[in-house]
Parts: sequence; C-alpha cells; structure tokens
Amino acid sequence: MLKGPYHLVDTDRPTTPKSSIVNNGNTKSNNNNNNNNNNKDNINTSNKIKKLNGVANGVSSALVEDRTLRRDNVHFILSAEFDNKLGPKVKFQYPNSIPGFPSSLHGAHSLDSTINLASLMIPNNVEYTPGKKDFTVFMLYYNTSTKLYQLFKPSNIKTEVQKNDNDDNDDEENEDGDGDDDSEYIDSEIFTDAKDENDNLDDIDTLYFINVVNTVIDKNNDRGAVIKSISLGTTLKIFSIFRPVLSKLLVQYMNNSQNSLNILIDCFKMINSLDLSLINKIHSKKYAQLILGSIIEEKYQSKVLNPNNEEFKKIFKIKRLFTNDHFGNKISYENKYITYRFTNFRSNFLNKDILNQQLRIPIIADDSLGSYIIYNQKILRFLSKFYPFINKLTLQNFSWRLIINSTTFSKDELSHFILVLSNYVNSCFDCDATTYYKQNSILIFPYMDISMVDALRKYLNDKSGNISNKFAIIGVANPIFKYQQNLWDCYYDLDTETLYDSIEVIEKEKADLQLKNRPLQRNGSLSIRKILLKPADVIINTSKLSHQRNSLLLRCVKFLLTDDRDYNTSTITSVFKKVNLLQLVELLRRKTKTSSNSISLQDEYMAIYKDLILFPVFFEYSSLYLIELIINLHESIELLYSNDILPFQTIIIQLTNIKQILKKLYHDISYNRSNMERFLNLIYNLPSLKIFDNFNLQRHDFSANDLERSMEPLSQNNIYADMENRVKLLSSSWIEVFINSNVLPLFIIPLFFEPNCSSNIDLFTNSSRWSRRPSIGGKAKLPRSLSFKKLFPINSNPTAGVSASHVMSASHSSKNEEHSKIITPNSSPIIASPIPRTPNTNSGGPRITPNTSQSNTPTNGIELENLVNSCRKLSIQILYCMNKNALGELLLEKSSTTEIKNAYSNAKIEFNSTLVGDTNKKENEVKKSSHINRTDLMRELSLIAEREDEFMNLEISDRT
Amino acid sequence: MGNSVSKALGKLFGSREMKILMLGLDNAGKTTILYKLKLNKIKTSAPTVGFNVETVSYKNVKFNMWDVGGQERLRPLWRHYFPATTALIFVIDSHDKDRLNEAKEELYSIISEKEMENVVLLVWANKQDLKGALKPQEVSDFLQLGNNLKNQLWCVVGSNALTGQGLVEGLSWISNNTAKK
Repeated sequence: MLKGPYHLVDTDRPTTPKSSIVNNGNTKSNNNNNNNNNNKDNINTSNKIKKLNGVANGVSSALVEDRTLRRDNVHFILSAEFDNKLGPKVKFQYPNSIPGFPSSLHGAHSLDSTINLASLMIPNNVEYTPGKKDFTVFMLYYNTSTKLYQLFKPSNIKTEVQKNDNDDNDDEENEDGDGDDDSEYIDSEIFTDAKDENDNLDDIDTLYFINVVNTVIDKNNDRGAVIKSISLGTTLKIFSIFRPVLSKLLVQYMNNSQNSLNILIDCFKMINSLDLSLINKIHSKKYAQLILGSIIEEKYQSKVLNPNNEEFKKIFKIKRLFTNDHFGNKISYENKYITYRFTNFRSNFLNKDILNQQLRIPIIADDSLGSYIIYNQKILRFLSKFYPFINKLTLQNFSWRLIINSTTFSKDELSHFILVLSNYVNSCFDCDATTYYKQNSILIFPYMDISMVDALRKYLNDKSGNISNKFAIIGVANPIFKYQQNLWDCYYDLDTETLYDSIEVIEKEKADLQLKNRPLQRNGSLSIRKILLKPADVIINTSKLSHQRNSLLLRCVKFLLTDDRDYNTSTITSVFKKVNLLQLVELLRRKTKTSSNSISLQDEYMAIYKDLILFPVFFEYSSLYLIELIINLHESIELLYSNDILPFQTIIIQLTNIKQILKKLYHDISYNRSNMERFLNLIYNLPSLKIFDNFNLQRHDFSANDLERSMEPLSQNNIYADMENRVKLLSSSWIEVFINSNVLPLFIIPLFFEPNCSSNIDLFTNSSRWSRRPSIGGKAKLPRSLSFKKLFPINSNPTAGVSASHVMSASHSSKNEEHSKIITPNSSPIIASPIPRTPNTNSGGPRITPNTSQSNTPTNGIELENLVNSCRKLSIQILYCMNKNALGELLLEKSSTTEIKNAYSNAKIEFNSTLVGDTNKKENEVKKSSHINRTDLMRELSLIAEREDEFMNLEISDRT
Repeated sequence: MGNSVSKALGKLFGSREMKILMLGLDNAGKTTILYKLKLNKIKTSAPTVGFNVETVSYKNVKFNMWDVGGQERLRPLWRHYFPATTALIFVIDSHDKDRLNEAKEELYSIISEKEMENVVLLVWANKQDLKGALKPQEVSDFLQLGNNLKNQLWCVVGSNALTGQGLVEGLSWISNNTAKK
C-alpha cells in the first residue's frame, strides 16, 4: 500500500509503474516516425525521447538547477486531500517536491508553504457540491536568489524592458527568410529555440497550476465524504488545455485507491509523451497572435485560422502540416484548433477514456482560457463601477489592491473571471511579467484562501510599511476578506455587484464614531484605532469630487452595457485597444520636450488617464516609434488637406516630411517580419486619428456627448466599406463604426496624390484615375468624376452639419495651434510646418492667399512632381510590403474598397519595374554580409520570377 | 431605501446585528448546530472545508454566525476571523473525553488574544444525547473558566444539535449579555 507524501526522485523503488512509452529507445522511435523519415528527424526524436526518459527517471529534479527540460509539457503532478483530522494536505508530489514546498510527514511539522499549497488545491466550501468537479488556477514563481518557488512574484524577475529586448531578438528574422527556411519547422524549433530559451528564462520562472477537486459522498468515511484533488504544474500559459485529461484522471484517482500513485505517474508521462513544439511555435508568434486576436469578423477568422489554408501556413511559416508529432502521436487540424492524440502511449494503469482523450488546443493562445461571453456583462458592470473609484485616487497614493469575492460562483468561474479581467486589464498573464505603474506589476491571484493573508500582507507592504503603488487583482470566496480592511483598497462583491471603497468605509466608520461618541471598543483590523494609525493624508485625500468625468473608455463601457446589441469579446477587446491607442496618441501629441522619456511614458499614461485597461505592447519602444511616425504623417496630410491653399514652400516642406516618414516606415517594416507584424498590429488597432481630433481625451468629459453623431461622418464617407458594408455601417452602432476604423488610409492617400499639381488643393483633386480597373495596356485614363474628399473621411468634421445641440464642447484650441513635432528615436526631430491650421472649405473659414510667385516656376513644378512621385512610390512600396505578408494582405482585403484595390493594382503596374528592382535591392542589402553561393542566387532568381508571375496573375485576374 | 427604513425601525424597536464566531475542534458539531438553527435540519454530509456563514435571526437580533473548520491545520487560521466579533461560541464534544484537554488549550489560546478580550463567551457542551457525555457543569469545571476569566462574561450550556436542545438558550444568553449596538 502506498502512503504519501511522496517525492519520487528515484523511480527505481518498487512503486515504479510498469507502464512504458512505446517509442522507448531509438529503434522503436524510428519505426514510429515513418512520416518524418529523414535522419535529422530521427536524431531529434531520439534526443527528445531521451529527455522524456530522463523525466521518467526522475531527472526533472534538475529542472530548477540547469533548466534543461523546458520542453516538458508538465513539470509537476500533485495530489491533495482533505484529512478529517488535519485538514487539507498535499499527498503526492511527482517527480519530486516543488522546491519551496516540501511535503511534510503527515503534518507532524507542517510548514506554512505546504499548507498554502494544500489550501489552494482544496478550496473552501468544496464540500457543498459533492459529485461536481471544480477547478482552480494558481501560479508559483521561481526566486533565483533562494532557488525556491514561492506564492508571490519575487522582485528579481526580469523587467519588461529586458523582456521585450529578448522578444525582439527572438523575432529577428530577415524578410527573405520567409517560407524558405521553415521547411522543417520542428527541427528549427528544437535547435534554434533551445538556445533562445536558455537566453530567456522568463517562461520557467512561473509555473502555472491547473487543479481539479471533487467531493465524493462515502458512507464508509467517518465524516461521510472524501475530498481529493489533482494539480498539473506547467510553464505553458495554455494550461487550460489539460482540463479534460485532469478531469477524467480525478475520477479514476478517486475510484482507485490501490494504484493512485501509479495513475498519477502515468498521466504525467502520458502528457509529456506529446511533442507540442508545433503549437508552441504558433503561440510564440507574439505579433501574429495579437493581430489574429484583433480580427473580429468570423469570415476572416475562419480564413486565417484554418491550418489547412495557405494563409495560415504563411502566417506561421509552416510549409507542411505533419499528421504526426515527433513521437508519432497523431495531430489533426480544424478551424481554429489543433488536436493532439496520445496515440503512442501505453499504460497498465490509466483507463481507456484517459488514453483516448484528445488535447484540443486553440490556435489563438488567449482562447485557451475558454469563452469570455458569460463574463463580458459582469466585467463591464464591474468596470463601470471601478472607474469612478480609480479616478478618485490621487497620484501620491495611487494604489489599487482589488479583492473580488464570490460565494455563489464556483471556484472555476471565479478564477476564470479573474483571469479574463486580468487579460483585459493588462494583457493577461503578461501582467505578471510586465510593470504597470512605476515599475510595479499587478499581482494576479485567481483564487486565494484565507491562509495566505499573512503572506499577502507581507508582500503588499514593503519594509517601511508603505502601500502606495501596489496593484492586485485577487479572487476570494470568503467574505471574511472584507474584514481584512488593511489588505484592500477596493472590495468587490461579485454576487451583489457592489463595490466597497476602503476610504469610504473608513470615513463612514469615523462618522459613526463621532455620531455615537462611544468608547473605542471594536476589535480587529477594522478597528478605528487601527484606522487612526493610518497616514493622515490617506484620509484627507478621500474627499469626494463633486463630479467625476466620463473618460472615453468609461463612456464606451457604459454604452456597451446599455446598448441592446450583444457585443462579443472581440468587439469589447477591440474597443479597449482602440481607446488605449487613441489616448496614447493624445499623450504623445501633447508631450512637451521636457516630458519624461518613452520608458516612463506608461507611467505618464497611467497618471493621466487612470484607465485601468492597458496593452503593454503599444508602449514598447518600437511600437511608440511607429506611432509617432503615424501621428506625424497624419499631421502633415491634415495640414495639406485641411487648408485651402498653402504657400508653395509649405507644401514642399510637408511633402518632404511625408516622404521622410514613409521612407522610415518602409525601411522599418521591410527590414524583418517582426517589424512588419508590429506595424500591422498597430494598423489593425489604431482608429482613424480624425475621429476624436477635436477632443482633449485627457480632460474631456464624454458623459454628455452624443458619440453617434461623432461617428456619423465616418460611417457616411467610409471608403473602406464596400457598398453592402457601407449600408451595414450606417445601420450599426457608433461603436461598430469605431472598431471598424483604422489608420490604413494614411498610407493609401499618398497613392492618390496628383503628380501634376500646382497647389495643395490640386494634390487631392482627383483619385478616380487610380481607382479605375487597371487597363490592359497600362495606365488608365483619367475620368475626373469622383471627389477625393468624398472618398476619404480624413477631413470630416464631427460637428459639421450637426445642430447646435449636438456641437461638441471639447477643448481643441491648443492642439490646432501646436506644431507637429515628433522626436523619433533614430533621427533628429522632424518638424512639420508651423503654419496654424485653418478651418476647411466646408466650415467657410478664412482662406490663405497663396504665394503664387513661388509656385509657378517650372523648376518648382518639377520639384513638386518629384516629391509627389516619391511619396506615391513609397506608398505603393509600403502597401506592396504589407500585401506580401499574409496578415497585411488580409488587412488590405478587408479594409479596401474596389476603388482602392484598383488604385493599388494600377499603381503597382506603374511602379512595377522600380518596385521589383527596389525590393531586390533591399534583399541584396540584407544579404550582403552573408556569403552568397549558387543556391542563394538560384533562390533569388526564383523569387524574382515568382514576383513577376504574381503581377502577371494579378493582371489576368483583373482582366477576367 | 427599504434597507434604511428597516434599519431605522430596527433601532427603534431594538433590532440589531452581531457577528458571532463559532469555533471548536473538528467533529464537535459546529456545522450541525449552525444548520439546525438556520434550517432546523440536520445537514452533515461532509467536514467543513474552510468555513460556513449564515444569518440566524432570533428576537430582533440578527446573528451573523461564522462556523470555521476545526481541523488541526485550520486552527491557526481562526485568528483571521476574529475582527469585529461580538461573541465567541466554543463548541465542545462532551463525549470525546480524550480530546477535552486539547479543546481547553485551543479555547484559552483564542480568548487570550487581544482582539477577543471584549467578546462574550458561550460554550456549548454538545452531544449531550450520547451516553457517557460530560454534563455542562463537568465541562465548566474542567475548563476552569471561573478561575481564569475574571473580566469576561461566559456561560456553558448543554446542547444537542440533533434535537436543538440548548441552542435557543445559548443565543438568548448572548442576546441578553451583549451591549446594544
């Protein structure tokens, strides 16, 4: 009979299971990998199997020491049970005890850490629902100083800046490497990534545990029931994929007390018998994942998320879909999912239903959390209450420690709610690795037990007792946390949807005390004596503001809550991202030279907006660089377009500016794939900068604004919707118009510039010649019927044509007066013309008299034409680059009208020769440092031939 | 609004609310007592993992009763439930003589805490229906409360959770011996 607790470092002991992995050894593995029948594969397979056998022999104790087993799918399997005399206790830990959580001998010298672990695995009130399994999630963090795991993130985990640098390096791939270098994706994964991962230790610093628990009524038990649980510890953020296996495992584990340990060991080995390198590779594509998560439309999702489609293979650089993994386990592909089967694992202990269980893994990593739908309304209602709270906070005491309690939700639902909320707030688990405000990160604890209160208090209070700039989202299922008042700033009762502000509780108690004038006799942390010990300014700063402004995000949240239409998760996320970006743009535009640098921009953002929702990827240095270029481009085009007639020299300056920006952008995005995808991620999410141009997002109160009206011009003039889409846009809510808006037009507008212009008005005179279907013979003739201004909404004034009652009250004077000055990281400042903007022709404002003496000379005309042609050429190069990328192609497809597509095709024909020449030149530049052999030359030649074929095909398809 | 009116009427006619903390060793009968009071039913299918909390109304008093698991590893967590407690109910299995001393030690450990110095103490000498169970007086003598609790109100009441014997008496004593708040 087996008795726990166990640390099974040495599996040669008699209890070692007799099961084995079928492909145990080189010979068998080779036989089982007929699908991958090249020598390299077999070598890798045997290496991998050796690793697996290493795990089976208990070598994974080396996990922490040398961190060589990073490819294991799970690192620990644990079981716990409720002991009628002791309480919750950890029974088994396999393959060894988690460093920092040693198993105690039957509780004789029980350690706090182990009790904590057991409490997480046997959550409160689990006895209420016998026969109904419940899940919890918890994380353990590795402390490199102590070499132990702990419940709270140690301060020595790397910072976001360092992490991003690593990410960038990992992603660096030359553009010309696409497609050709990935013929053996698994090979590259094993060899290349093994090195990368050794460089980047973040993944292993956090262990995610998915735990399942159940209560079974048992009349033979002296207390009437048996309560047991099993946890799997993994470094994979997609830990939820193990739920089905874990669920079935618990059933067998609870029914079979004889072989309970063997069952656990075999399950551990079974999960590690899968080679998940393919899905890991897919999930590791950070920007592709972000972009795919930003695609709302089902038809496009189906297109790019179906592994059988070419688009999918291009996005993830997978040349061929293998039907087996390296160990011979079957892989199947369906829309949005990849499914693994344990086809090559045998066990004498596990039930068939466990062995037959599949691992169905979503292609978008965030989807592994499951559906958000049931939580959307609850999260929106929470946000609508939380924003007024967070906006009241002063910067001196900017800190929100949020405790969310529910006694009616299951622990699974509660954990899920916390994770979904965290995902919205700070890009899910990244919040554990990234900073939120002033180098402090948000503590995410999906489910916490009262036994962790002391550790939490210690974590949240630094040595000086200072609790400022502490952020936490903690799920609890025990209202006693409400009495632990010095632990939270905000307590949210999820069952009643009531939010408690600690400051208000203090104020109320203080008022009650004065009213009753009774002696201080209450006990505990809620005691007035303790409250009075708090710093005075905490209480002083609590005075309620007479009116809280509705920020743009709060306005959006309220709209999403009250509107009749059901908005899905993608829409809600998209709104959050767009508002986040718009506010960031506003911040960058208003940033003065003396403002802090970009590293502290996130802090500045938080200090100003206090909007809770934050997508750290937009605050990365490289993203900010692109955003600044986009802002500058917008400013210049606006200046050229918004005024009537500008002095010739101003036109030249602005066009030069546009050319420089486009050139920088082109160089950036054509350099490598990750730059391009970073850029595309911005284009997908950054709405037209025009929409809220007249609002000061930092100060404006949107509570009284009719945002439907604000979006109206956009929906009426949206060139990017086809006719049926345009009808759809007109009939949809403003929020849908908002999320369909993006900044792609900024890169298409230069394409339409008129080369033979003599003024800025002429520059935009006509777009129609480019929007015709391409003629067979080359250039199209120029019917001048379509107005450029009708095609593009860039000049739409939200207030134009709106009755006085709908006129916005936004403050916009300062923005219009400012010069658009953007400091780019790699260059000297680009300074746009200091000429103030004047109202456009629609508004009937004063006209600028053109300096005709400068504009009519032939030399100037040539200069202007050259500049315009340069801008057009750069525009088509950018679009061409985008179109080469599967995600960019999708963006162009979904955001372009027929006119734009035609214009693009026409321009491509016009610039065909130079485009191919330039692209090849670029490729040559990239390759110049490397040795060029005959194979490379052949590859280049075939690449050129391919591109020429592409153009030919395009022409043919257009003709047909 | 309705809540405010109710509170006002409560104040007028003496209605009040108090937090009661019910502790004791495992298997003493705490949860059985709680649900006998709340539902007048016997509901003991499994040990308490963590806590139970229910509101029991008696004579214009709302008792927010917290019943916390009594297993060895859960006892160090009792202190987290101390804040804002008006009365402590300590439940003793009068039939489990082997663990009386353990129960006594735990009881003194609780009432010696600063946070609990002003609470009133009710001891339910439970399982009076079992043969050989110690009588309330015997339990009281064993606990030596008279010698050790000079400044604190205390009371030992015999109880049988299955029939409800002694439960109302205990709540009535608490109600009568706590200051109106």
